[in-house]
Amino acid sequence: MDGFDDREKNELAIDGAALWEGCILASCVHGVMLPEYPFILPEHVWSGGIYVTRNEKGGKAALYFSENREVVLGMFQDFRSERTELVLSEQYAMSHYQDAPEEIRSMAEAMTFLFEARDGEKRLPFVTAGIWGEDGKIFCRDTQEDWLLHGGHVLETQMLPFEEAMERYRVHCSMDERRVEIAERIYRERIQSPSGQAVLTEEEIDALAVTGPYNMEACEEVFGKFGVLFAEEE
Amino acid sequence: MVGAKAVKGPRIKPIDCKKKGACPCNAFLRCSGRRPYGNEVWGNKERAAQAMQGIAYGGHEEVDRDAVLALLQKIREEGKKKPRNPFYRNLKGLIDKGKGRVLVMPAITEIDIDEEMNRLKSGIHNAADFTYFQISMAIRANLVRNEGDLQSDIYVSGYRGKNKTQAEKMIPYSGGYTPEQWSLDHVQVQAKGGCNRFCNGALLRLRDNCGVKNDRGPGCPCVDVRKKGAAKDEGQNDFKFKMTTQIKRYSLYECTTFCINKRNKAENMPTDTPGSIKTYKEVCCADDPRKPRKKAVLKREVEKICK
Repeated sequence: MDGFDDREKNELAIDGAALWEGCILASCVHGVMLPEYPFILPEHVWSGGIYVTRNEKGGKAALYFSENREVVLGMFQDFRSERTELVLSEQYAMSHYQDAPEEIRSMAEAMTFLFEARDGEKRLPFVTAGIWGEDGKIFCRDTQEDWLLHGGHVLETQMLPFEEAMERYRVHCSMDERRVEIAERIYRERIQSPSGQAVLTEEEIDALAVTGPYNMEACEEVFGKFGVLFAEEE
Repeated sequence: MVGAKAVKGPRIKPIDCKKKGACPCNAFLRCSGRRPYGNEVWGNKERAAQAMQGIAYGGHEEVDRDAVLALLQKIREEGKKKPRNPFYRNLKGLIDKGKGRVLVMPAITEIDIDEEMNRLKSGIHNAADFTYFQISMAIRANLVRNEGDLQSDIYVSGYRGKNKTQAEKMIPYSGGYTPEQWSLDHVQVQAKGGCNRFCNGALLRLRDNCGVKNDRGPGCPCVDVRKKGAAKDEGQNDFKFKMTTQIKRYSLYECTTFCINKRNKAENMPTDTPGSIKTYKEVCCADDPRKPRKKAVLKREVEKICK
């Protein structure tokens, strides 16, 4: 079992820009499937440069991307990690960022509120791994393997190349061909520029509405959070 | 299994098995003979019609207003120190202020289910996650079975260390994660090769479906499970499957127990060990909760394998 201080700073083999694209792809798939399967609503959430993803087993990851798509900070929660005996404290949550610059540590401290778990009356951060970016590189106080084991795996699909990720989504998210097409088109348009926008056409919106007409408001809101807008009705 | 000789490696023996020694066929039969989740609903015309209707639900996490206000204040203060850093503004957008939302699981038809079942065929494999379609089918069946209340399934006491002998109310989610939220569990443990057939699903509270303890209990009967990095037996193959968002806590090898007879004939490991459910399409293909296969048919299929 890992202690608080006996870990070294390691550089992880993660391409920040590719990871951002992977997160956008996951979010596009999420958006197109949401009308039919509304129970997936909390699986992917954006707020500006912060992306939060959760899986159905209580795994969670939050990433903060800079304007040029570099990973600034990442935080992970995995209830199946062997660290679960250790993690429920502010001290442990922050131990993942011990070697990070001061500003990142401040941000990490603020971000822990997204990872709080109940411990009796108290709510304490439950963080099993953390990463941060410096000069375009991504660092962690775990090895790549340990990071994956203690929470990084939540981003496993987001880190796959496009074709592999899409194949996985097609099966796992029960996607039909039309929605695969829509998700891919929107994704391609959206990744053209980090601060850019993409627009779902009326025909695409109609195709999604057929699958779940009552959830379109939530769908529009979810897409809007990462710069994908619904075309105005003519 | 008559005439079986001992082989190296762990034995799969269900806790209710009365036979002496290893009894792998029993475990395999029990696994493959389990009814698909929700069969009592989807196999009944009237109840299936109910399950296919649109289902509206709503709700949100209980929010501690004082904690939210304190957090907002803290973020504001940090933000003031770094006014050019948009992080704190973005973070504010993620605070759950307890806003509720009503969502609707849309009505579906038999044709929709047929299409999804066809699509699902390629997605059934060991250690796979349940698909959105499968989750939707399970939730719908659970709601109809419990007359509109989402309730956790009962695990037989002692099995998997769950000791859940009473159903508990569960909540859907429309905004945040809570321990009472539903979660579709793999009965045969996923990290130990448990597959994503309907028969391997059970709805549990999220609290009961996460944590290291959740790994107690058997995985797929076709898999030998060792601690991570532990050596395999001589001639034993790695158990190959598509890893999804699994934590690779175990080393999985093809089970040697099932093919003892074949092994005796060939004097070494056969190449067609039942190491993957793909090899036994008839037994381990996608199961349809509307029409489960008869036990007698399954038994015949299993006997063919065990010969």
